[in-house]
Amino acid sequence: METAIRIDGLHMRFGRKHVLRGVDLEVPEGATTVLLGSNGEGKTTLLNACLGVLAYEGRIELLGMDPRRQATALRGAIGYVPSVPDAYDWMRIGDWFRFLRAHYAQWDNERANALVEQLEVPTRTPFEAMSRGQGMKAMLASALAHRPELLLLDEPFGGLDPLVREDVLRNVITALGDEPRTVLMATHDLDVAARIADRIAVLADGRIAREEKVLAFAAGGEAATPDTIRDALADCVKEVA
Amino acid sequence: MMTWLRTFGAWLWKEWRDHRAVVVGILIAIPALTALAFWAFGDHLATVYLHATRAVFLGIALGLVNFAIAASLFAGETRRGTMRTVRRLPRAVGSAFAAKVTFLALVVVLVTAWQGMCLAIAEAGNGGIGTDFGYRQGADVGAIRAMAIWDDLGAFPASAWWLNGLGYGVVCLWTLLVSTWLGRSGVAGVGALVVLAALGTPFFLFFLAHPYFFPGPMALVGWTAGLSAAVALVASAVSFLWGGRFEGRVLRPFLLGGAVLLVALGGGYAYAHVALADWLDIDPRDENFTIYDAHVGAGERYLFVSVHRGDAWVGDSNLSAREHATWTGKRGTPLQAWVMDLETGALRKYRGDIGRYFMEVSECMSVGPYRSYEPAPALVCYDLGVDKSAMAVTWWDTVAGEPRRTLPPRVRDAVSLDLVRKTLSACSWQRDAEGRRVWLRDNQVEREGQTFPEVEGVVARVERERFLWPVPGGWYGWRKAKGTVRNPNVFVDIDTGREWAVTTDYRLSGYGNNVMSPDYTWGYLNPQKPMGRKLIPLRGGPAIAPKGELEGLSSIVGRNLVLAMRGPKSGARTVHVWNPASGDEFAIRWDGPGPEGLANASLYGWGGDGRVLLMLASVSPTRTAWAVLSPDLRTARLLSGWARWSNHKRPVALLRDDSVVIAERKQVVRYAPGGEVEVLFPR
Repeated sequence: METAIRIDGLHMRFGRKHVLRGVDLEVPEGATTVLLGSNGEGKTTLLNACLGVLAYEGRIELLGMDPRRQATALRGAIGYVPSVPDAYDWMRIGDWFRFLRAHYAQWDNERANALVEQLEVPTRTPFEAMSRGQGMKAMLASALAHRPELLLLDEPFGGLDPLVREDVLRNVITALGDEPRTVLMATHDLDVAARIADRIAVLADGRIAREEKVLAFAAGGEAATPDTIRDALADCVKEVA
Repeated sequence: MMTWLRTFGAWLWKEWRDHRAVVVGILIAIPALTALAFWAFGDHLATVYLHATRAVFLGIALGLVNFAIAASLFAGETRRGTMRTVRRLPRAVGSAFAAKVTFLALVVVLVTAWQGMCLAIAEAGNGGIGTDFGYRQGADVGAIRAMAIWDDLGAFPASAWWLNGLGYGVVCLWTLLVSTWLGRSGVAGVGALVVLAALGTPFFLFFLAHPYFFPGPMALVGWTAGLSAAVALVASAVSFLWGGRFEGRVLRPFLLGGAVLLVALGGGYAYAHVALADWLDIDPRDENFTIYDAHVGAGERYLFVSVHRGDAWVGDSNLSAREHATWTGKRGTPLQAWVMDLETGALRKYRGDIGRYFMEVSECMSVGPYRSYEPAPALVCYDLGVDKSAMAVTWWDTVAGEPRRTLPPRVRDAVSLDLVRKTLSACSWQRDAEGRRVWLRDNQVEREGQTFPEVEGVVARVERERFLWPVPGGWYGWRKAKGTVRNPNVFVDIDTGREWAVTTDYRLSGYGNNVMSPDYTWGYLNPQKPMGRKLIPLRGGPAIAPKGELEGLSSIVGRNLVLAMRGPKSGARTVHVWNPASGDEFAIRWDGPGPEGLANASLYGWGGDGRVLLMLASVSPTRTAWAVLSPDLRTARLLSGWARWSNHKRPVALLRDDSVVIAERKQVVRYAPGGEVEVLFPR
């Protein structure tokens, strides 16, 4: 299996705060890897470094590209869902797609519209009037419309109420199942991780404390259910913390 | 490229959608505010404050653009938290930057044009002032009024208007730059003004110190706006593209953009200083090199020349010419004072901050009615200030070729007073009955060897009270009547202090009448019609003129003689000396070739030994030449050939046998009696 994301000795500092202290991580191609960690552990920071919007020390390679040196090509090949919708408030989903279309050579308008329909994103509502869940689904649709090889999701379910979270999660799972792609998702939601992850990487104290297939965390192996996996992950996170 | 253009277009569209409400608001506010202002203050705006009105209106309109749009283009992204969007999308950072700058430029152009149009309509509607206020005053009804408005609309977008727009637009660019640092639109506009003031102050001080380097207001605005726009644009690009590339580095845009400003500023200053030094470095081989004046030092070892290149810059006069559009464009250097050692050829240049030039010692310029061309033992070098006044005066010993004292203007100390005395003595050509040199100073006669009650310190400015002339055996002249120089009726014997009323019926005036003796003056019968001078008796009786074709020209002061000419005025006249007392005359004999086509001659100056310097003129073509009369007035010698007046030869000094002349304003030449010519300067 090829490696889609390779991170070696990643260090990140914000002033005197040393957030990431030598992260080493390999994400295999085609797998959905969930980055687990408590709040403030640096999950978002790690994703932003992968996106090339933060300066870092160390080595990051996504799809064989350096985020700092090949930023344009890399950003065109990946999809990104932020923790909060970052489209301009006045834009409707059509405006947003029109705006994004100019940035992505591989933009697929039909797929974008299909995703909007599939995810039930309101088309006549500007982002400023959308609910959080609608906004996140719009972000997911726009992140997938150019058929990215790699998808980065940054706490996509954070701040959603349970019903909306379930709705969004179901849509995410459906959308991810459409096409084979590598996914790296940062979250502290163990339930989400248990339901969609192929692999789990636990970030603690600025390093990857444990990184394995999700089933390796549960005692029952192949027979493990999402609930047992979630409980196992909870134990693991407590342990490494 | 197409991909980039597509992205750029998307960002441009996004900026329009982001700011369209503000733009439309400004476009609505402009005619409303303009109409309101003209309704309230129309008469004043249209006439007295026309130019200020236009500048202020445009300033307000583009001020709105500055604070409402320029300040928020980058800062708005920070405020809304969409900088992440800009950073994370492919090709977005460069495209966003280009689109924001382009959008700002388009809005500035749009608002400038719109404000111009609204103002033209308002002005025309107010009676019309666009191009011809007087005409528009009458154009207030019907079709004529419509035509006036149409004319104004066509004439209004003049280059000055767009130059104003460019100037204000540049301020918007600086606001754009500062907004990449602060991320707060509210303070970016004010911050930009502070930055501009901080950066502009040194340049302002630079031009204040070197006003002759000032290229003129229009050129300065053009150049400053252009360069400033380029610097602001580059600094903004560096701040945003590199400085703002990564999140979490708040100071990085400021540091990188500030570095660009420092480099540009340092480069600008370095260039300005090098350019200034290079420009002030006058080379005698320069095409526009000009000798303003020259003096030969006593002892004939040193030559003192005042030079410049181009139109001489003296104080703020050229600045004024630029402001009044009479500037010829030949930017000139200030005067520089150069000293050449005639033995070694060594040249010393003294620039000064504003300008320096050599002058005769002021007291020695009034030793008599004509300047002395005797090499003076002392010269003064004026160091000019911005306002043309001398800031300091350096006293030069011309024998040693060295400065002796630098004093404030009109201040004398023991050293400078000693130089004054030496110079007065050397330059005086008048002798008293005992053969001593005699001269006038501050309305008083002084004699060689006399002890002078001189006081060190500030020299009081002495108003000319008398018009005095040397006559055989003394000095006589008019005492100035109160408040006028016309009809002076009190005659003065300056030697004895005796005064008496003049009883002539003729109207006499200041220097228009050369006193020849207590009995006669040589002058015009009617000062209103200065044609033909005659001998005017001071005790009554008819005026006397030379007889026949002899035309009297001027009295040879101190000799009781008159310089006269004989022959047709069309040319080929001969020079004579006429004695009014005896009626005798004699022709001056030329030592060497005489002047051909001579039409006129006049007294110009004196040598210390009593030689008389004559200026000669021919009528067709109009040319000048110089000649020296021997002390006995019997023979004369041409100093040089005829020269056009515009490229004239001007005498500098009368030496023992030779004469020194400025030729063509580019050389100082020494003429020997045998016709040999030596170029003294430049070498």
